Amino acid sequence: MDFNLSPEQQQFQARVRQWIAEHAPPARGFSEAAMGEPLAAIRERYAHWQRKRFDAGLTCVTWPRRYGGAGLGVVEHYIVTREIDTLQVVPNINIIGFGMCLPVILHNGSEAQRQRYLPPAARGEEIWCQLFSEPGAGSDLAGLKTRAERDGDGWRVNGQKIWTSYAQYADFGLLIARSDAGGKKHQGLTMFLIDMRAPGVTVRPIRFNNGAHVFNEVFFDNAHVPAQNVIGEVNGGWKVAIDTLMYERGTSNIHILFRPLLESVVDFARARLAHAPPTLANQQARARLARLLTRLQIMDVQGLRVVAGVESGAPPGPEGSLVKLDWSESNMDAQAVAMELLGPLGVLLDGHDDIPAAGHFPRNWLRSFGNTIEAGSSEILRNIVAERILGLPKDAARSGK
Amino acid sequence: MDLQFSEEQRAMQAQAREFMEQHCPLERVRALWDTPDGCDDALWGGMAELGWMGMLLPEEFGGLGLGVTDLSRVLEELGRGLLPGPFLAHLLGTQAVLLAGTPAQRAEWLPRLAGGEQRVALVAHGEGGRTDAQGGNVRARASGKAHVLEGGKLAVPGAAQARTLVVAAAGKGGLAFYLVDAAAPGVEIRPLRAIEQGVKLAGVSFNMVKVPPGQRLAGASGDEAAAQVSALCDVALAFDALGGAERAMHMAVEYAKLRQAFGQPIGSFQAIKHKAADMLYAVESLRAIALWAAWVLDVPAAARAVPARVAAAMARCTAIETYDLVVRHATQVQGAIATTEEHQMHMFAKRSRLLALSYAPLAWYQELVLQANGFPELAS
Repeated sequence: MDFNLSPEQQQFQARVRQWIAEHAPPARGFSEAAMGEPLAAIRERYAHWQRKRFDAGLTCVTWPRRYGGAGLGVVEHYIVTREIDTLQVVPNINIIGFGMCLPVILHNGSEAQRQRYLPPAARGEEIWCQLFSEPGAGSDLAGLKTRAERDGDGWRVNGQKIWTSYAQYADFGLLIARSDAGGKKHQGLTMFLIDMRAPGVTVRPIRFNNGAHVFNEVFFDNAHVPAQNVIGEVNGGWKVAIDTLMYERGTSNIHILFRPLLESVVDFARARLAHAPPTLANQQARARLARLLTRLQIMDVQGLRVVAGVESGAPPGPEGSLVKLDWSESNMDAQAVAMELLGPLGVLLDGHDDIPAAGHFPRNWLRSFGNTIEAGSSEILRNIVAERILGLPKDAARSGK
Repeated sequence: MDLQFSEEQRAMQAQAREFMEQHCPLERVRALWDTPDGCDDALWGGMAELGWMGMLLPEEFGGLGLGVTDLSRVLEELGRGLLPGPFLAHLLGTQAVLLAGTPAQRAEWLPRLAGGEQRVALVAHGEGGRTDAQGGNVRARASGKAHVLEGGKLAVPGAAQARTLVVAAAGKGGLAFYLVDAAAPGVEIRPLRAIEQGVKLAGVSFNMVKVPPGQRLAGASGDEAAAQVSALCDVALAFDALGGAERAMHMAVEYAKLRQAFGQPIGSFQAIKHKAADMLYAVESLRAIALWAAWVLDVPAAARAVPARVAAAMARCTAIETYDLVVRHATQVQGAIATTEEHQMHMFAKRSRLLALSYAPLAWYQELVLQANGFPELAS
């Protein structure tokens, strides 16, 4: 048992830190807070920073070099995420691309698709979104209704997607649609990549409860998709979707990206308790803060267990399924604690002379509601864990009995 | 980075599980609850034969010279089996002798303790969990070359089963450990009956107890030794909780697969499933933090990123809350039968409370975690 990085990995980490010291501009804080900044400006900042990372070989770490990656392992990926992404130098508007869409291209796409789409994304030139959820199909994704019909050589898409993160920036989308209406629920689905600028594709913003614009609705009105944009087999889209979840293991590091949010609570609380009067509320927050500190350590260890498992070729353990529950639910409580330490001022949205952090925590707290729903709601994750890991039976409705 | 157990560690764990299944199944545990010591010679001798009492001791003292992660493979299985009796008290007392004794004291005492021929118990934790010089509620004063102990501790695991008590007492120059004959004049040991009757608790008091000169452990700082023993104690309890909680969870999950209601297994209902998932989440969190804490204890002190006491306190906090959550959920999933004497679930519920309240309470560990992370002390 050894939780330390190997000497080679430590050297790599030192090189990454050295690069950061030389190249990283000061962090701007949590990226979604970049509200009010024009889209073009955010995109330009993102592209500039991503290009710098690409030139240094510090992005898309596990991808082969011929596709713009660094050709390294999951531990190096972990190190880069932990050291660079947590700096939040720019809003990570291609997080969905790197986390979901592009791994699908890498593992399930054709060679032509890989060569066309992976390198520009690695260089920061193209942004991706994922077109899965629909108004009537979220947790029950296979119930989706967006149709793809044959149209000459290609396809014609009609329908609506929702909760599409960063679609306002996206050049391309990973789309799952029903290509055979007669097939069984999980058959008859096909995975496509679609040009988000194509005629018939319309993006409309949805604002979060905290005002931020991440999510969108996307409408397809006879949008054309060329035949070469099918990913995997026609009517084999469900398998591609499931495979995606497997590939994500070990390189999906969203729990690491959320660390700064939790750490900001710890840092704030430490300073606050050093000066604030020992009110009952402040005393009662201590147990929750101790829990948060412990939780941060547990999340660290669980993340390492996932990475070490992938590295050693071990079969997936339960830890990977649990990390999303972990950060999303911990984050909600953490932001609430920070607000409570501020007392009645905890609800302020704008800066207050005495409390520089005002506004930060209520916005994060509002955002945290979404974290427990997006990318697998807490309820669905609990079902998955109970069924796949503990072997409990599916309920009658879902097992089709 | 290597987060796999070694082959030897896997073998140790398998051996411990087999030992418990063969020699100490839950029916036997329940029977031992009704004995004064919670343990008999056959069980104690079997454990001694496997070398468990001396796992952490150097080979020169008859030990196995292994680390905390190695030991954790055994502790997790003892927790899974709800091992009754004074094993942990003896292990911790032995560790105090190793850490605080002079070479001569170690050579005199440890070989007897490694094989379990002589039983000791750690008497170090006071009310509210204070183990250090400020809070120790046993005091020592010099009397010629000897020392005199005065004071007492509330509920000490294993004290009534030990021939010698390893007592932490505050005196001039801080905390020191004293080896006190349990039958010495002025030592009073009052057996107590707790909800979990496997690990026996006793009230211990010292009324002008004279300790001969050679029996003050004088090899190292008592404060430092107490901190290290406490860290080991916390990690040991975390693995006890891990094994017990995991078993209680699986009992409930297996029941939920078989028990039918409304024409289907109750495990197909989300209300049940989500309790199962929450149990797994808690158990796996505990496994993660406990393994990490054991590793921290095994790393040389100078190379630790986090002090051993803090890592151990995080594991202990998680253990207390995990075991509590699991026994509540596991009982709920199994329904009324799990609240009865004839069912075994109550044994896990009782063990969880015993572990939660023994040695030091949750709030004490939470404060330790906070202050180690730069938080100001609790205002009074």
